[in-house]
Amino acid sequence: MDYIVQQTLNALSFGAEYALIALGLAIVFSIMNLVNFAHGEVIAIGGYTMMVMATLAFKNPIIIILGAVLAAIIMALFLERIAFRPVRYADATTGLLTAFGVSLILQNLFLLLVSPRPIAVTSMYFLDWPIRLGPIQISSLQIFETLATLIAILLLVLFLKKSLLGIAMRAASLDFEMVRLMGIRANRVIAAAFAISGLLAGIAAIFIIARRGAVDPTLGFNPVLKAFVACVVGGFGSLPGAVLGGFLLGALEVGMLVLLPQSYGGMKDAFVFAIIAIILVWRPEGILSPPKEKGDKI
Amino acid sequence: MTVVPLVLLSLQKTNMLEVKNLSVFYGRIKVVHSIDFSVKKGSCVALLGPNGAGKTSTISSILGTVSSSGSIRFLDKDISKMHTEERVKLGISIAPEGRRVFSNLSVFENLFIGSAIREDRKAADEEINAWLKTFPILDERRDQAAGTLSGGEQQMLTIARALMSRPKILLLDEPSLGLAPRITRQVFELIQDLKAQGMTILLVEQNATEALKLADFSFILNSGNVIASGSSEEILNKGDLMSSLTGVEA
Repeated sequence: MDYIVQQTLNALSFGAEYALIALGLAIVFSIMNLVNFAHGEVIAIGGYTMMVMATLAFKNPIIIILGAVLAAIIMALFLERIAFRPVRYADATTGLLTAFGVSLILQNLFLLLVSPRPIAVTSMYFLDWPIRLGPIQISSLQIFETLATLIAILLLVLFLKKSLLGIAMRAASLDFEMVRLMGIRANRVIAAAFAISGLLAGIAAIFIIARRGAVDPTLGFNPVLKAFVACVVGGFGSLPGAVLGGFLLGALEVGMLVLLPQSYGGMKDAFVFAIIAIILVWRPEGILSPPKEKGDKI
Repeated sequence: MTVVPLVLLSLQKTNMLEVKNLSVFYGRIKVVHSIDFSVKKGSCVALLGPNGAGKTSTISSILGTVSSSGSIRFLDKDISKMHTEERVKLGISIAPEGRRVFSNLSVFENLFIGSAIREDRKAADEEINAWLKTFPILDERRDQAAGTLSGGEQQMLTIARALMSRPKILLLDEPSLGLAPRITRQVFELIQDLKAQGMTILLVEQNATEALKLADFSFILNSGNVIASGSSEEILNKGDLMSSLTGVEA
């Protein structure tokens, strides 16, 4: 029982992290058709901000958290302004290559300006303490991570359903030009998408740092690769798909760790990706792929 | 200010939209060749012509969604260099070809997003309710995805959405396209009502007979050139022109 609860929480917290990052990728992709691989570096900026703030003797962890999230949002908006806006109307491949380029440049800047080695950031350790529930011991961090993700998803859904800008973003995922023809500025919609993706990246950075306790130049890159897989499985461009894909990937990873014999532990990823390949054979466009625009009834 | 510009100004006043020397390009290909036309305040002007004549290109250039050269003046302002969004804010609105409702949004959200540029939220909400009353089928599907509507219902929604921004001029691109004759009649009745209420309308149509009934003045386009213009009577009298261009017996 103990074991099952712990592993379920493991799966949920892994899944929550992937879902957070995958949502950030999906919200930008749904509007701009841009696969933003530089999203990982936005997460890393969150991590480095925590490092800098901790060194500058900021003691209050809440202020450090706010600072990190704010830095991630600003970074996302900044990247949109200088890197992605010039290629907005270019081919999707151009956007993809731009994102890769930005990602590489930033990783190398971290490497040159900060350090190639991991630097300890311990200010998020306060989130993690053991909780005893009768015979079961669980980690508070995992609960926080799952809850924070669920709250973020809930708020995002409310925003997309209730606010004009949110409705415009949903409309823009279908027909951007028509949204502009409603008098809504394209820059505003796109900036909102990047700001939200930055916010989600900032939240993800907090939990990654809380778990790892250190920041390095590839802090965000590997999680983003996983989140990319989550997006593909869930259906690229679909927000519910990103969430589903994230939690599914988390569950698969933990499931494989539990089910595979110890000696096969190193093969975990191979098994996870084999299952994902099978899912994609079943649903090539992802489980919840957005409905294809079938054109109007004429 | 001297007297001369004032006189010029008052002369121009009657033209709400004035297009001069307009050419439209897709890449290097020129599809509309230096055409002139204008729309007077409160009038209904039709752009007619066969497939590929450049009607949709012309109407798109007014809102700046295609690249064009020449002058486009709206309410005595040159708008040809403005962003699409700014032109909409000045009071131009379009019900585009193929309707383009946001099929993933509900009927209500479609109308709501149509009022995006308005500040008077309360009045806008009342107007949404008024539209829903006018078209009970839209009210029934208020919270359903607009993609579930029939073609005719989508056309009504598109026109209502375009009007939600309180435009000074309404551009209608092929409102009868692909609709059953009975539904087409309803759409034209709606346009007739709008005209009676004083709305300035620029109408693009292939259904020349119906369009000529509505229009005060028409321009006939072919291969990107204005080949004729005049009141409906004058166009109808040029029987050869009508039948050769649109296949409609005058």
